Amino acid sequence: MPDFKVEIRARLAKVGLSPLREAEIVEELSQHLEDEYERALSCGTSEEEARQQALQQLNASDLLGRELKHVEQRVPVAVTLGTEEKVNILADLWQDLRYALRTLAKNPAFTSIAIVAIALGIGANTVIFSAVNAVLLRPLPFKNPEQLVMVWENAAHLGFPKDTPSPANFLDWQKQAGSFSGMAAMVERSFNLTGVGEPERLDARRVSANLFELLGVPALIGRTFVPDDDKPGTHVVVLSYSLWQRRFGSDPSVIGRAITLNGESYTVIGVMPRSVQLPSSGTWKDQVWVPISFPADEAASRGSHFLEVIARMKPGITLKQAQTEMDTIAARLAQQYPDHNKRRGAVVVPLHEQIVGDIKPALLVLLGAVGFVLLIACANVANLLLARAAVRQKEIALRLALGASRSRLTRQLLTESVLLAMFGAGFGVLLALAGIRALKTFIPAATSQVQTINIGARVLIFTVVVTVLTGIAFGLAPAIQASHLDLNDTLKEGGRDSAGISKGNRARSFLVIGEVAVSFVLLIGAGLLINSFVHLRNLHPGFRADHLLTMQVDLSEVKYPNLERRASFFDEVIRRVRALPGVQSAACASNLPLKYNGGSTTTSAEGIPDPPPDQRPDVVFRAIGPGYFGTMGIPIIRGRDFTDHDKANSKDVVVISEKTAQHFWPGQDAIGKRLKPGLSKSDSAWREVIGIVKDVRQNDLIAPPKMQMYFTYRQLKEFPPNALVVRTSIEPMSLAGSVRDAIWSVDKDQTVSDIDTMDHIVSEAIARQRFSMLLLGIFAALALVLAAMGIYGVMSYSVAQRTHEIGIRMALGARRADVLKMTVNQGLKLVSIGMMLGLAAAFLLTRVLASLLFGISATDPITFLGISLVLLAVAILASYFPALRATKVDPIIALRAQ
Amino acid sequence: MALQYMASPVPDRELKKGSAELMILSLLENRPRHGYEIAQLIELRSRGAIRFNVASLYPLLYRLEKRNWIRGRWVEKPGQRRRRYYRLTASGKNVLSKQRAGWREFVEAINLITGIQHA
Repeated sequence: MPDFKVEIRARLAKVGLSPLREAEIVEELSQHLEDEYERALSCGTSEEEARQQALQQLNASDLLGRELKHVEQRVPVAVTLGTEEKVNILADLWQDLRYALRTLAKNPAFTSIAIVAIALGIGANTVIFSAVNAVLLRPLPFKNPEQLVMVWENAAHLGFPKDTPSPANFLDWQKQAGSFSGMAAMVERSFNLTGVGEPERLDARRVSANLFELLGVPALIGRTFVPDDDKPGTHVVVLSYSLWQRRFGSDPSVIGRAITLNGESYTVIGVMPRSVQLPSSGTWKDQVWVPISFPADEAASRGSHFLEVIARMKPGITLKQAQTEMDTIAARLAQQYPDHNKRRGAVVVPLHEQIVGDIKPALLVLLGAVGFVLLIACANVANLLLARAAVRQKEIALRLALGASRSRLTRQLLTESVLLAMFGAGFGVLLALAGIRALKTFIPAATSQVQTINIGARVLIFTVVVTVLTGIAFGLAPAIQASHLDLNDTLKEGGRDSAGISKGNRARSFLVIGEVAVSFVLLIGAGLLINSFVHLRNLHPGFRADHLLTMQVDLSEVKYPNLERRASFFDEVIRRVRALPGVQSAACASNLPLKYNGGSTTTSAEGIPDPPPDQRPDVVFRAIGPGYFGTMGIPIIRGRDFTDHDKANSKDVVVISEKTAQHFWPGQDAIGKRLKPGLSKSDSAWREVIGIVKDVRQNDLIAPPKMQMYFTYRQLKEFPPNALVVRTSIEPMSLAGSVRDAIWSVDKDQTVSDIDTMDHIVSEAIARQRFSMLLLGIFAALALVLAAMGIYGVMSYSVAQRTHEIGIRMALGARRADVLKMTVNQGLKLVSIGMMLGLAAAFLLTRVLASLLFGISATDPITFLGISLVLLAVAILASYFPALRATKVDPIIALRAQ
Repeated sequence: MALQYMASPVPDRELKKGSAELMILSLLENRPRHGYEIAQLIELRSRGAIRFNVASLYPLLYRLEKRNWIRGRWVEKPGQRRRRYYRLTASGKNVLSKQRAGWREFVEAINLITGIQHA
């Protein structure tokens, strides 16, 4: 038979077809010519004549090419920039991609399972990385943010390793520290904005005049503060972008206008850009800034600690150098002022760490966890690919035999897996978009930058890199294995037990072992967090959080300048609120637990000498109104609550917590004893203990409660109540409107804010723990499902391969139970090895969780045992079903199939 | 003498193209066929009057395939090398019935004018 292919190829040369298409056309046309040639021979023509006759079919030399040019799409060869080799690579890639697409389309079941697994893995990674990117990686919106630090007092001996500095200490630091180009103080304070629409309570801060200059952020419009602005009596204010937008309609002419804050007039001098958000505890979001000024007595005070201090290190100064200098200064101040500063150090913390510190460990753990999930997904897909490679062995062997190089074949298979990864990533990014929306509701509201979490360029680059690596990760093993086939073995018929397959099985077993190990680690992590969260949920805060409605009612100092005015306002409000249907009781307080940090003070008891400065007890105090304990559900153990008769002109009284009573009068009855805030020689009055109540977790749900005492606000004029708490018999939030109306019926200009239930406040207090627990739980569940899929896949495949063997066993008398046991055992062997490795890894890795755990250790035996049982059960199930199929093998059919 | 189809004296190029399409679609109406079979059948049924050669038949097949009127598929049969079989698609069926009606009208009109009668 003459070869017509050369002739046909010559005519196609100028058409510019893709190599694959050209090969197809050459094959089809040459068949036609061969048929023609044979027909001519059968009619008795000579071979040469028959050949000529067949070639006539190609007609004039260029007709075929011309016609095809109209029809066929040409491969773009415009990319021939470099050498011929490059063209080949591009053409190969094009061919590989099309071939891969066709292969994937041919196996929709395989392709969709693989894509779902990858999409889950990559989606989870994209979500968490987008959070890491927004919260941890994005630089703060300040000039040279790496130079910015916060400076705290270190009073670790009192339980405050990062204590708020006192004004006098701050002023000394400012004067003495040479490591910093600037140091600024600030303190949170709320203002009532009146005179423009509805009255509103604003989160605000008093700040040193140099703060914004130190941060390196100019005003968006107008100006920031200048040094003269923090002289006492200057009433200027800088607005935040959001307040300017919300309350002043982004009107630039607001500069120079006077606004009323707490009944006093302030001149607006500037508006800050949107990005400016100073570090804050909790959900505090500054709306306005006013200059801080220290009156002489405050400037001299070392005993009251309420400032936050930001500083900028001079260029070239390291954190360590700054810390060393501050240590020296703090030691000097401790010597100079031992009464207040003994054992008080100073600690320098990078601003970024201060802002992200709380959430950082959780995010890093989660980033690790999603990495693990992706690894498991990769292992699963690799498993599928290996199984398929076994099926495709003949195809691959044939291509090798026909002259395809092994590297070319590896490239082809890798193209396929990377393409698969890209499809998965496409869906993964869609999943991530939904996931980010969910994440924003999970993530603790106090985390800075939450609203900036999105899929930006950096996240996309991350996803693309991860995708390509993923594709290579799960494609490499199958590709290498496939391209190292033994041709002889594979091409022989019945090569069922060939080395290639058993090698493939080994690889698949290793993958399952790995999957089990990794998901075991994740499950242990999730188990520990869930266990720890249960401990947290079971913590008793010291009060009954259910059916409590709380709100912030900040009285203006101008309108309510004295105790009488405040008392009559609250008396009237509480009387009206109590009259509302559904309300059981109501009370006011200066600070509600877990909401706003209140003050604490050195306290002395009558008849007990003051201990040395570093051993003085620090007692948390609250100013409350009558009925507070009953409303909050804080049990009174002994004595009585405050009543309306405890007034400014009656005997000074105090209610203390159990822990306080224990500290001052261990083993004695504290009722009737006297104590006072401050040192015993101070001029404040002695107060008689009239009641002892249960300890309450005031500032922190997790830390053990500190010593506490309560005053009635009517005997403590410095601390006006500004919160209202209402116990209801119905769903608390349903009363929010009527309680607010009751307040407005007493004073229509009074601001009411932060309306919330106590249940919600308690649950917010463990938001960070819930966040880590929920997400890690979700990822661990995902890992478990993927691992189960992997075990199931391997066992199914192994049963299918062993059908013949099982048939023989059953023909020789094995019972179904034996087959079941044998098959499940095979699965369990893999799982046990995996769990053993996982156990070792978990012991090492869960240590990173330690900072996120409460009430249990990172090697909690109950969690380890429980999780092992869960994983074992899932593994048994995953191998049980394929095993069940094995028992259904009909020996006759299985044997005949061979 | 056999008439080389593409060299036939019918003047209108569109008419030629249209008739060739109609022939191929008709032959695929009832079952899939490969290119050589199509060429053979055309030659046989026209009693040698119309012949396609490779250079004109396959580009036409590919064009029809591109328009999604027919679809080619490699088929392997035991003991044979694989061959590309073409079959009519749903839209091809549509086109076929329209083209048939058009041709019928056209031929009738010619008959009326030229007075040629069917045998």
